Amino acid sequence: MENKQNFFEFFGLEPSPLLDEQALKKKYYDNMRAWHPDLHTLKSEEEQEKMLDRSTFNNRAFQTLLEPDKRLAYLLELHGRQIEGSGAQLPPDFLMEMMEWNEKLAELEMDPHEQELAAFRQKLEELENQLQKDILPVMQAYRFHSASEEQLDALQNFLFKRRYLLRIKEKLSTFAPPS
Amino acid sequence: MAYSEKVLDHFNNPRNVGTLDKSKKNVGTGLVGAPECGDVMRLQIEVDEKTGVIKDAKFKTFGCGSAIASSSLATEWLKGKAIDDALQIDNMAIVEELELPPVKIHCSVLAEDAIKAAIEDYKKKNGLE
Repeated sequence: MENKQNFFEFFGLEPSPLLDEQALKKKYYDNMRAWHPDLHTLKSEEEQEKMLDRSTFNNRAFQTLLEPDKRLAYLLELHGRQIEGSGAQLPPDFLMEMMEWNEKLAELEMDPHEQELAAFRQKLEELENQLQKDILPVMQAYRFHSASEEQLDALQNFLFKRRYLLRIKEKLSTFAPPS
Repeated sequence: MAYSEKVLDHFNNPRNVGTLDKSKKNVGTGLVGAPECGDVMRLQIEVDEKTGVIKDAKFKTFGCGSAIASSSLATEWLKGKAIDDALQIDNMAIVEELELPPVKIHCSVLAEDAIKAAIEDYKKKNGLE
């Protein structure tokens, strides 16, 4: 029956991009203690199965909500926004910027300059912080039942931009560490 | 997941990587992205203004092997085509040629979008719309 609930409802939390992580963790651990299959080995098979189902759902819901990007993607999907394979487009100037970032990254990969790499990492971090700073007021103003299309657009764009930055960061992490 | 030989060939020896001068009137630029995986693709065409035939095409793609192969193949197909014929290039033709698996179909869609965007840009610049 829980499976019809969304993950936020499951934990009794207000759906939001910003979540009280302590409250989430507490509910998760409470559930885990109550439903862990090891604690129900003496119950009927049917009962055990039910506990296993609940535990599994509990884990899945927790992992989705704990990680901010996954939580946001899940929340947007609750609003009917397709995140995976959506073909949604970003503003051309942002794509241009990402092209330049990737070009710089490719250059650095061929010819790693310690100082330039450090500067690149710093700029990337600044851009990440800026994105975070810009979206915070939107996240704070967000209410599940009265979210506007503009708010959802802004949140979706934010998530997609994060994906671009994440990709660049992943690539960067494959470079040799500073010696 | 295994890439087909054709994908690997385009990936290892990409055709037509580079940049065309986008300030030129007869150069059209398409810039598209697949935000869900962080891919970005730029595809450019240079058109012979007299004949309306694409005489050069270049691309630069940051993304997975299939995205690179799709755009590489697209530039090969574009060269020598009239722009209106180029508009007929369909992503499924790319899928078939490269034997892309279903999870990589979006890479071919991206290439088709890039072709259309580049042609649209050219048309806009030349008042052909």
